[in-house]
Formats: sequence, C-alpha cells, structure tokens
Amino acid sequence: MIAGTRQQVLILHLAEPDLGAATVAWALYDGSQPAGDQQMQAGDQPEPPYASVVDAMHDGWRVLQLPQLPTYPRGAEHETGPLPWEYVLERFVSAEAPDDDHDFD
Amino acid sequence: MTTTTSTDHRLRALDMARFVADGFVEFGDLVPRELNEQVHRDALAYPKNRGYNPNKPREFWEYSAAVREVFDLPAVRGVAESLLGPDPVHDHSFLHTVAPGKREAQRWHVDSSLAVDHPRQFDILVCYFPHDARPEMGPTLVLPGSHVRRVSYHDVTRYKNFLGQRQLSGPGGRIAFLHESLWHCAQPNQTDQWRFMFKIRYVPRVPQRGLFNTTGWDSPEVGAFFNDARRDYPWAGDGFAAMGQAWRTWWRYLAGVA
Repeated sequence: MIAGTRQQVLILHLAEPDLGAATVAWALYDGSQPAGDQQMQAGDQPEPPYASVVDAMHDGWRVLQLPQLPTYPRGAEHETGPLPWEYVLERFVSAEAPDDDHDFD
Repeated sequence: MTTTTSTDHRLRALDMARFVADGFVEFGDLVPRELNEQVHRDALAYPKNRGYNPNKPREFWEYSAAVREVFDLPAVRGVAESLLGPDPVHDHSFLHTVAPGKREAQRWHVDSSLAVDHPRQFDILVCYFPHDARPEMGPTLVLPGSHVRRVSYHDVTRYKNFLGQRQLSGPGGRIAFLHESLWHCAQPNQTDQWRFMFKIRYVPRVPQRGLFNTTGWDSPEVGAFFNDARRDYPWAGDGFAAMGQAWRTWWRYLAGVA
C-alpha cells in the first residue's frame, strides 16, 4: 500500500485461460470511492472495460491472481459451476483525486 | 413463444428446448389486458414494503382475486404443467416491488441451493409483470443459460456484469417461467412509478419428464436449435461445451427416452 493511494480491484472473467482471451464478465471494487458511494452494480454496464487481461495490463493493471487449470475427477467431467477463468487485477490510484485515474464510464 | 392449440396449451418441443437452454421461457400474450390492469390496480392499492412473512406465504395471492384468475388461465396452467406436471404445489408467493427512484440493484443470486438431481429436478419461479416494464423501471435481470451451472444461493454475488445478461422487460402482462437455478437480480428503478412483479414458487409432485408436447423432440429443427445456441451465451466462453452436454442429456430425460 502506497501512502495517499487507494486500491482498485478489477475481476475479469475470460472465455478461455489465455490472458489474451475475450472478457465475458467483469466486476470492479473501487477503494478510492468515498464510503457509501455506489460501487459497480449488477447489470450496470453492457460492455466490458477491457477486451482482455492483457488489454488491462497495458493500461497499468497488475495481475494478482491467475486461476488454476482444471482437473477432471471421473464421474464429474461435465460438471460446471462458477466461471472458471477468473483473473483478479489491482491498481492504486490517488486518494485525493480518485477521479483522475478512472476510465470506466 | 407459442403454445399448440386452443385446447392443448402444453409447450411444444422447440419451446421446451428453449427452456432447457435458456433456463426460462417468457410470454407476452397469455393474459388479457383487462386482467393485467386489474392486477396492477390491486398492486397499487396493496400496502407497500410489507416484506415477506414466511408465516403468511400467500398474502398477495389471497388479497387479489385477479391474480388468482391469471394463474387459472388455461394458457398459463398449460405452460406450468408442461414444466411441473399436474397440480403443482404453490410453495409460496410474493408481490415484489421496486420503489420509484430506487438506485440500488439487487445482487446476482439464485433462489435455491442445489437439488440432488440438478438440473433435472427443479422448482419453477413464475414471474408476472402486470404493467409495462420498461428497462428503466427495473424489471428482473437474468443470465440466460446459467441454470445448469452448479452454484447455490449467494455464490454469485461477486459478479456484476456479463456479456449476454438480459432484462425481462416488455409490455404489461409479461410472464416468465424460470428454472429455480437461474441467476437473476432486480434492477434499479429510474422512473417515478412503482415496479411490481408477482412471483410464485411451484414445486412439482411428479418426475418432470414427458410432460410437454414431445412431438418432434428429435426433429432436425430441435437438433439445429441446440447446435446453433452457442451464440446466445457469450458469458460461458469455452464452458459452452459442457453446458451443451448437460442440455442433451437432460433433453433425452425430459422427453422420456433416457
């Protein structure tokens, strides 16, 4: 944590595990927004902020988490659950002027 | 969506295939306009912000004769019985509201835990919007195809936006029949009018197979539908293949041939 900054966490779900694959779902949790302000909400953006994880990296986002590749226990080969290709990214923006570094609208 | 004839209101094979893939079927023409208007008047007159009382699981149902009439329409019963079989249990119902100007969206969620035989064993949530529900009024947002994923209740609240998410918006009288595992959430209401949605949870009394009009269940038309459905679920990415496998296995069970 850098003094005077706040963390933003961006979660991108990709179509495949390749970090350059297309974004199919996304969520932003923005620590620079004042407490009580509305964060990203379910259904409020029709298009993703970045086409891929690589695209977000080019804009300064750091990758925090890569999903594990799957194993397939016998008998459960066709089971599906939450979205598998989930990448968690972060960046830090100024706490004093958080809007300077926002580009989500 | 259309039903078969004036006397056979069961879902046809292609409509049932759409339910298997999307996790819901919706209709805009099952309920007469006058009846929609009466239910809307009842909703407006009904006390607001009551909250759900599990000890009174049918309050609006018992309050509104008009809403009972809606669910007794042969066309509505025909769809319900195609999915649930005869005389399904009315587990509970509730008049869901979104107040004028409400800014917060509900979080993505599922209305149930996993059935032992998911997705074959399922309750049905019937969502009925008696009035015009434009997108800005906050009609329910759903994620088509999500019902075959094995998740429970609030597992999906971290998600916010998906390619392929879709609102159940449309003219008054829209009625949608949802698989219990479909991901969904209410949306903000940017208007100065109340948004109402009456929802019943129905529980089947019989195994859910062979209940719809199975004529043509293995037709080229149905086969082509499943083959072409990938474009409708962009959020699934390469997980589409496993979803397709789930549909085909379930489809044969539903049709009563496996």
